[in-house]
Amino acid sequence: MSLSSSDGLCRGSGRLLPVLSAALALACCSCRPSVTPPPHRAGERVVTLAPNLTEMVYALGAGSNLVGRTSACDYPPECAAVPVVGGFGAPSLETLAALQPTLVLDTALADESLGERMRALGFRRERVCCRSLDDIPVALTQLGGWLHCEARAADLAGTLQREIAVLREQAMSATHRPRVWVELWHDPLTTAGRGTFISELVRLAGGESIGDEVKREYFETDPEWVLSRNPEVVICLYMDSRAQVRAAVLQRTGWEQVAAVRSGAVYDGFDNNALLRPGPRVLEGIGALRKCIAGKAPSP
Amino acid sequence: MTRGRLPWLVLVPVTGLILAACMLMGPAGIGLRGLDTAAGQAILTLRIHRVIGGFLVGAGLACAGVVLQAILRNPLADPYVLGVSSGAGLGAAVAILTGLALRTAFALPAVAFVASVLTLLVVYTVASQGAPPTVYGLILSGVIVSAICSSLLMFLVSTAQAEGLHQVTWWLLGNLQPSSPELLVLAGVLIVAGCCGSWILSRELNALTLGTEVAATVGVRTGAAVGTGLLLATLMTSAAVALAGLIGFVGLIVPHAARGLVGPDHRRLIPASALAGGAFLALCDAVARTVLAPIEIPVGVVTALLGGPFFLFILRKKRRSAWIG
Repeated sequence: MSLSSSDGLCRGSGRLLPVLSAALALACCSCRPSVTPPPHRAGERVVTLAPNLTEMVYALGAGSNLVGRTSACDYPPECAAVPVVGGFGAPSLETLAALQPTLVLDTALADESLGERMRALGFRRERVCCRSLDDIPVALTQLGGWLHCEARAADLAGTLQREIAVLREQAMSATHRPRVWVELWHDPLTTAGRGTFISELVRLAGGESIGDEVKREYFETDPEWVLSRNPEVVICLYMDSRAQVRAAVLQRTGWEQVAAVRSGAVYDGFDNNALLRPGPRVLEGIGALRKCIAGKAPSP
Repeated sequence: MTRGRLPWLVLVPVTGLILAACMLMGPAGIGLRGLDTAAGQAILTLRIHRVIGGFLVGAGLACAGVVLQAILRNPLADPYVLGVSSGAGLGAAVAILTGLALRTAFALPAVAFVASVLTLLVVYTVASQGAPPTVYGLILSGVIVSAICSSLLMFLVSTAQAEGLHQVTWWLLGNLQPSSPELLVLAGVLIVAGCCGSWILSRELNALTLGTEVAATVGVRTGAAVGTGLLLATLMTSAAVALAGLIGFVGLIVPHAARGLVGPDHRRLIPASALAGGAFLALCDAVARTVLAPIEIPVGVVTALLGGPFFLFILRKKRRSAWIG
């Protein structure tokens, strides 16, 4: 209810709102020194609304242009000094307005009604699509253009493209690709389906995710189904760095006969921020997965 | 009204058949294949755990529903009417979102169990105020405590990080994925004890359905009977919730269906509800994990989808049976 009425307000008074918000922004600046932006290089004032975009901005050497980030943005460590504009997918428009960004970088998955309001407030908002591995170099090139660091972007994007091509070649020519169960959560058992970023990572790391049977982003499943597929490798990629789940997987009722459990090929403790974020560190993530999966594939 | 042996001659074999059918259903395929292999046996073990879990939770929720409908003299009463679900939900969310549930497998069920028992104690204390609580006092304080717990839960969910939120959602919809065998035994003991205790309390429950004053005139110590009944219902509900999260509808519709089958006498109604509730939930769970296999849907969605129309059917068929119509 309240959301739709505030949407109506935005559309109805598109010209009034920037004025109002500017007034609000001024008021905020005077009473809340915490949102005062840190010193930055001349040029763009950038706010990123997703952790992978923050990483890309730093990888391009434009970290000093960053004036706002989300609370989920935690890499590289120096971004901790940049003011937070809200949670991932839930920025506070008031805080955003106070930072006076010249460029807001958002994901392609973001809520469009929020985007409308940002446009109504006069921000330049660019959506960056990073759904698959091949999107990352494209996104880096795009960002390079907006942030005026085209050369560095071309360099980074080129390296990534070459490495991905090599990995893809190796994966295509592999004679045996171990079956991998990627566990994203234990209760309910959750995994990623065919065509997802995670499935792509596993493939490039030399394995084949058993979740590929299902064309879905993510799905919940029954342990019985995992058992019936008898994975050779279990990879626990919980979205919670506190999770030490290897021991629990090894002791699960009924899982004793799973090939991965019998051979002890159950892995956890990955740096999920490097692995699950479609960002510049993706090759590190694939490398970590390769180490786990390679042991199960016959050496050439 | 159907009396005598006939309902049992139907109910007992049908329950057995349903449980057997549930054993044959699963995402690995219909039927049990490769029982001579270790993998086949592992799948059989998982299915046995799951069917037993579903049966126990269904039986516990149905019995708790019967007891609460009798005590509160309200056909809309279910195991969650006094706020047990909101308390348990809050406890579960705390356990999940603080990361406690990731450290030990017992944390989530233990916290949910304790929170639901505590909630009922608070509801009872608020309602009683020196004298044994009245039915309306219980319902009112249940609604209020439940609302407070729900708002705290919403606060936690709205401020939490993304990780774990999914688990909270699934927990709130009910989920019978196998937990440890120890937990199954523990919850099973509580639920079976609760069902037996409720059955022993049948005479008092029969009297309470006529109202506390009438019950007192036929020699029932109403305060003690209400307190014992609430305690038993809470133990059963809490154990069920600890094992499987919040599964709705079973505790509401199964008592009504069973009442239509065996009549309102609790000596018959309680065992009938236990059997029917257990079979119904085991079946819903089998559907939940098979229908879109290997994708699993929350069992609470299935109980509501199957239970709602079934409830309407019963309502039309049995207008003249106790409380309905």
